[in-house]
Amino acid sequence: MPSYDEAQAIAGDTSAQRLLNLFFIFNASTRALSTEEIVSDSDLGYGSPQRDSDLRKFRRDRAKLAEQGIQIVEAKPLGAAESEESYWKLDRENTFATGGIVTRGDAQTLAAAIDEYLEGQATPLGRPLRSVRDKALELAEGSTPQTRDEQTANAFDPILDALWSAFATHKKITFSYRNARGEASKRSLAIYGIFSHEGCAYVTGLDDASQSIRTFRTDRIEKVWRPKGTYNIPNTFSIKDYVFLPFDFGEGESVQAQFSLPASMPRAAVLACTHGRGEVALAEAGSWQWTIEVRDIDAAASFALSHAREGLRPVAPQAFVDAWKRMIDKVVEAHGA
Amino acid sequence: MAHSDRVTNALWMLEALTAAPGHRLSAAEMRRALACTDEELDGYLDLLSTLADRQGGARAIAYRQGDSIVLEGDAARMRPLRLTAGESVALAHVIHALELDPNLSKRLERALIAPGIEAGNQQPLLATARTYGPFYQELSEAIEDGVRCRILYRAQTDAQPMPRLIDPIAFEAFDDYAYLVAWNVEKDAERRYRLDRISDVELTDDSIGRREPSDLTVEDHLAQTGTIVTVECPASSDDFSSWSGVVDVSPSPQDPCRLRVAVRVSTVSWLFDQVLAAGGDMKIVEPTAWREQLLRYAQELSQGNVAP
Repeated sequence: MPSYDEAQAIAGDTSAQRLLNLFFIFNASTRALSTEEIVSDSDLGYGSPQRDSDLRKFRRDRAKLAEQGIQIVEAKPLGAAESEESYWKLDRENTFATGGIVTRGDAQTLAAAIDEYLEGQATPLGRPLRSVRDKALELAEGSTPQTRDEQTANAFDPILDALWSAFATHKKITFSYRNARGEASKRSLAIYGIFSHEGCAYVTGLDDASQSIRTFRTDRIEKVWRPKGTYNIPNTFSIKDYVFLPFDFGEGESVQAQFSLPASMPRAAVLACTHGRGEVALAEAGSWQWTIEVRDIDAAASFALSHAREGLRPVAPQAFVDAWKRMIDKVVEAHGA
Repeated sequence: MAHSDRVTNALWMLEALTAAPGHRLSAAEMRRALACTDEELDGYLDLLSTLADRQGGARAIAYRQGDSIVLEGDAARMRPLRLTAGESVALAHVIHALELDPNLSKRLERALIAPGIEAGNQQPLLATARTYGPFYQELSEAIEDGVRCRILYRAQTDAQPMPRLIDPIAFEAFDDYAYLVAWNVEKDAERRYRLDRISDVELTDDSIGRREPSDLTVEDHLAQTGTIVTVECPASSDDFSSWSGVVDVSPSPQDPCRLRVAVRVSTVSWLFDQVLAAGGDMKIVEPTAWREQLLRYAQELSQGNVAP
């Protein structure tokens, strides 16, 4: 959108005005405000002939302010009867940051950890995490928010920011996507989770077109449209199940395969190898046993060989062990033995 | 831009102006922080000017004065907000991924994180394949304070973790791996240690001077220490596309459907893993001694004679 048009859109954004005004009057008020005072106030953006509609709007607005960290909560005046109408106030303790708890050292540790996390990866988490870093430093050091540096401001990426914004507000996002084969499509996605892998970021969620959970690489998203339509994330969803391994892709039925790793391998190294997928247990035989669903046995054998020096070995089923041995035989044959 | 982003930006302006000396910030600073144009900044000022409490008579007064943006009066002044719900979820993920100290996590929850979000108890919606291990914070503090450390480290070819005496210098990250850059005291040389392979850290009583990491890239390091190896693979293969030490790619003189890739390699075991994982599609051409070594290794591996 050209800058002038966007400026007009900002100034005339009635939804943003209503939300900011709601916060403003609660922040300025020293008393609790009744539901009636809010929903009848046409200056505030309510006060329509449909009271029920305004009540629902007020409820949605409280939820939207909560996403911004602003908590408007119910408060009944002392001695009020249960039947009396609701009163509302700003929960200042849970809305405003509390000084004197996070030390300067804490903030610096956190800032360094965030910088470390973001190094070498373009991720939708860039914007929120830089904001967290700035806020922690501001709170601990009493510095002003204008200390955001140029690097921070320049790090914003409109597509990654739009993906984050859609995820954070649980709104479906539509985007144009070009897959690895160069085929373009327009998708609409309810983003359930985000992960990074080998320097790339991925969004996973319910894809409208296929009505299934799909994963998209963010650097293949070419254009995004304004998010709309809210959704809920199923409480059984875990993004860890979607951090893929090379043997996840295949046409056939999946089989449960077992690998082993040396017991001397630190737990974190096991996690790095397995990506936290499947089940890992320390067996009595003195090795880590990793059990995981495999869709492509040959790819699993290749994966085991790519980590052979670390001690990754196939254990079961026999077809998996055979595929691993066959692959070694081919290497031997290719080298003319 | 979504309504919620505009609300976020307007709230940030109120926070920033409240905290600024004289409640005044330069327009340039604000444009940079909001990543917006001058016209858009005026749009935000217009948006803020609509804030008013008709009953109480309070209203927000924010305006441009020369090259400054000024917030006037008390009504719109605002203490720093806690993190938004989304920011809190992102922070909880980082605390979990880097295994930061639980006490720090608790303090952040009390002071900053949105209510209802706990660092260690969130539905897993964010993930990274990069593993930092349990010693990131301890090593970070050792770097900050300049403390010599004794670590237990299991290199790729070690059967067991081995002790190293190191002066930690910095962290680095490539793709899915995070590394500690450190000075190995016994080797008297800089080394990189994958954080997930460190199984213990002990801080010594020795203080060390500040060292800067060398600015050698992986390519520089390979150029200094690597052996040039030629491998052959199908022309359609992209197995070598992520390798750092590739020095030449050319068609195979024997087979136009295959490529010859000359690559600098510093660790023979790394190359063997690559060749084995390609299952016969990739072949070591030179040096001959490496081919023979690979054959011995492959046969021993197949017979179960290579200790994991």
